[in-house]
Amino acid sequence: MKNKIIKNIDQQIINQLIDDDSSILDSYLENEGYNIDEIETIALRSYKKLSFILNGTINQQKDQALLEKISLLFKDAINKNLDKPVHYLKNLITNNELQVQYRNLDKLSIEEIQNIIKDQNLIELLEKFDNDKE
Amino acid sequence: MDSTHRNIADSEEIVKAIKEALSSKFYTDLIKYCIFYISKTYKTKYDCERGFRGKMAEDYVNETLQSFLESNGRKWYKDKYPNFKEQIISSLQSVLYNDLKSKKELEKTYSTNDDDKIAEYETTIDNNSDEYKETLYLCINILERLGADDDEILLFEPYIIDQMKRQDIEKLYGISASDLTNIKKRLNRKLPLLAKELKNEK
Repeated sequence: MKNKIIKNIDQQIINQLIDDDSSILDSYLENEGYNIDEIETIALRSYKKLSFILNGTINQQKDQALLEKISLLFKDAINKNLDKPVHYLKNLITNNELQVQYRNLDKLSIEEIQNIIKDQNLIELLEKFDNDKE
Repeated sequence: MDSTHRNIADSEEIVKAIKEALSSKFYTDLIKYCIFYISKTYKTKYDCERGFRGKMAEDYVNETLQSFLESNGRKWYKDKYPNFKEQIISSLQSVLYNDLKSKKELEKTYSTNDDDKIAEYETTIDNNSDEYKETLYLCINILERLGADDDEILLFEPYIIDQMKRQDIEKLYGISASDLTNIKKRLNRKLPLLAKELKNEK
């Protein structure tokens, strides 16, 4: 019975946190001799750093997902021998003087296509594919 | 429950949920919860400058949050935790438990896993049993010593033991929502101390 009550109290603390209410926690920490202001200052400093890192991670993942999506579109275009995307890719290879010899586009792997297009404006490329579909 | 039948969020849902959940307020509360967890589980004072055994509360919280964004990282089980904040807290508990149990130098005062099993068994205890009455009277005595008034003591059983919904408590006692909120606030301040005294009584 005591364990149940203790567990229920713990659950109330969590329920409150979900509602952005830390009054039970604050009460406990103050009683235990902690300085709430000090904790909040340290937390805010750390929050700013973490937000920056998380945003960076999220943007990196978004870019990678976009790169993979467009590479698949190019691969599909090569297989179907669609003029515009094939022509675009060939120009990129020539203009960027890429070391590897890409004579046969149909032999390109997804990773190789990613390597060719990675520095391009991916949003624009996606829009071009969408426009060509219409 | 095997994973094929679980409702698990995909990476886009997790990113959206993190952006919505992670305010500076909630982050600060996670830090506070971390300190609370370390203090109560290991009966030790957490040092805000040096952390606990070389690791800061911010490290535990950051590690938990970042793990959701890793490929093959932590999952959000929406069937068990419809609210993502609750998933974060559960994962933080797991990170803390796994890290701290490996710090063998400190003796744990109680095992949270064993107590969870006992607590589950205790949900079947009869409200008319002697054990129930004794424990309830013990809680009331502790609350009185902590300065609880009659309203707080009346609220304790339906609110904490029976976990009644607030609308049901309002009906039960014929009180308004704002009155209930005020009584709850006063009682809430005493709950951690009550929990501490109950643990000492074990």
